[in-house]
Amino acid sequence: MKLCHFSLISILTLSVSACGGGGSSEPQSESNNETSPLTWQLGQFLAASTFKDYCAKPRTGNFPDKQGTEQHEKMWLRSWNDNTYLWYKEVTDKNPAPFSVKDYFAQLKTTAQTPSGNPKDNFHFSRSTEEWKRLSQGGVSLGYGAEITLIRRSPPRKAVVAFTEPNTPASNKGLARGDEIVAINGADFATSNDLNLLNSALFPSKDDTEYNFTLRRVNGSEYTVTMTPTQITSAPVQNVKTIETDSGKVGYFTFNGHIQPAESQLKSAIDQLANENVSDLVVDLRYNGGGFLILASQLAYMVAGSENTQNKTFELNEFNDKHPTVNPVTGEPIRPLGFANTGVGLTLDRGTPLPSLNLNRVFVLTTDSTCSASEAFINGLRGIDIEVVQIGGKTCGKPYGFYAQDNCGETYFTIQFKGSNHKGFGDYSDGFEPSQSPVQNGTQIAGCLVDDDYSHALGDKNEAMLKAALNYRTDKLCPSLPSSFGYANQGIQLDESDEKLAVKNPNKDFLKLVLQNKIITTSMAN
Amino acid sequence: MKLNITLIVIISVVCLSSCLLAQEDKIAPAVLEHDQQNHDQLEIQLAKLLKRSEVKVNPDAFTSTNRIKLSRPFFRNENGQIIDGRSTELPIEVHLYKKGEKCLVKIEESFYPLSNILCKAIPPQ
Repeated sequence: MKLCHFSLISILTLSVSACGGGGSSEPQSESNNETSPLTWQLGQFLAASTFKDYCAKPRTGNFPDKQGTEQHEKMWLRSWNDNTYLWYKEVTDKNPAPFSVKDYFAQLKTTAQTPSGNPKDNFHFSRSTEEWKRLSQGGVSLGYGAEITLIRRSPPRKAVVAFTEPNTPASNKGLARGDEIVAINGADFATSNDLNLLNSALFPSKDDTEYNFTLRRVNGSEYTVTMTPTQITSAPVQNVKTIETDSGKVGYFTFNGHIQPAESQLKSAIDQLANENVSDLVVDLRYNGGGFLILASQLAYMVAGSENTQNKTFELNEFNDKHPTVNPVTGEPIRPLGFANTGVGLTLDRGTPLPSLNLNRVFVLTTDSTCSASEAFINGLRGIDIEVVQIGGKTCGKPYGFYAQDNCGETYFTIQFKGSNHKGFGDYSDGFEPSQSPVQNGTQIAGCLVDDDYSHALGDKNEAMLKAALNYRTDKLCPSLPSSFGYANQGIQLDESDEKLAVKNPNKDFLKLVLQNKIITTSMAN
Repeated sequence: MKLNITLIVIISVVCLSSCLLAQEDKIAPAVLEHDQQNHDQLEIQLAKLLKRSEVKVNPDAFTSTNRIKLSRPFFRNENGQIIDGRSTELPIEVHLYKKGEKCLVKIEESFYPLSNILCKAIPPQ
């Protein structure tokens, strides 16, 4: 039924060029006697629409492109960025002349740093519009239904199954969390030079080729399966269960993405846990990179209940000070998002009342893949004084959002808004970090640093992160950190020989495969 | 007697015609006639109505039901993380209807006629 429902969901390509307005003006000549709009003047910005869709190389076909110059494209970027970039005041207004279009855009951002010394803006980039569209793949992934985590992408490569989606080739063939890829079509995964094979097998773009995967279980046994890529529809809420403990019932579920199916699945999960009278809840967000913010708001309501959330702000999106009241992209009034207590039409009918556990505390399991809307869930609850206990790794640190913008075949991303909770807090660009002794800086949260544990199934009470949560619940103690833990040893090169399968190294080489990006390499990229 | 029969026939014809006319004006849920050109036209016209540069519709859209949902796709970076992981936009629900010979879409509470698109009425859902 759900699959049927989602076959209805189609894709609205993200281009919002129409919202950016304009394109109706004529191309401006640089040879006018009066100052041309194309002439850079420090601190003087014309409307972005003056330059929109005037391209050095207009595309042929059904595109809005008109003949222009690279200067048009750069001046459009300059005006658009100045109008909508969250930190536009921190951008140095440089003469675009010596820059290529891409290089000019790349420097249109703040150079400020976060308190930890990382760049304040890590999300400023562009892609070719064609590539961007291709990456969307119509919203449905072509793959096998296994989320594969690449622990090392260069030889000796190492990849393990993080989880599988139900009713997919991966789950039907018995792939399980922790299984390590040994070979593909007989080619040794760790050392093979046949990158085309590895990439085409792991990131299939066609569904007409079958591949033989040899995998090794956590217990060391090996097996080979043949799988053909197919369209995968995700089940973002899985492993809903109640764990009996001496001090009461604890609810648990994995929540892997704020995507459409989650609306009804989250309601079902909370209905189930409410019927089982759980007194605590563990939400496993370790692989949840976000999505629809409204789902975070709904889940927060279902955790905290109406008494805790009534008339409270879940999140307020703030744009730059040029746009205090109206969203400059959609033109809609900026209003705080409350804690949604009904369905909004993703997969529940609009107005469907949501259940609630009425808890004053929630445990969240996190990694550096816990991002955006998942962080908003944490921040939103903390804003209304619901105790959040964090177990796992530091989250990715993305309190920001943006609307992709097309121009001349390139799609641009610049941070345009920041989300704050009921208390006005939203400065967590370094991520939320669990600590046994958190300092009151807003980003350290009571809890434990624990590695992802691939040797146990998600939801298994012996899985390291869940186990730590259950133990912390009773004695507020954390397990000791393994010596190889990434954050504890930040900046120190890991001794590869010490690496164990169950230990996730949360550094920049830690990549997750998402079945569409070709990231297998012959050498270390970072 | 003859007059009565004529009267009955006239009344019946009038009633039937009124009925047919009313039927013609009635808006009924509809599905798309299976045709690639139809599908392409739908995408183009939806993009114009929604003021987007492009709208992509699944091949099976409006084939078994008159309702679809349009949403921006989520994209992931090379690290596997959703890039636009804080989406505040909800999917847009679009319904397809037929009124007389015309196909219409309903977006939010408004109806918009579609041109050069073939659809057929289906029983209410």
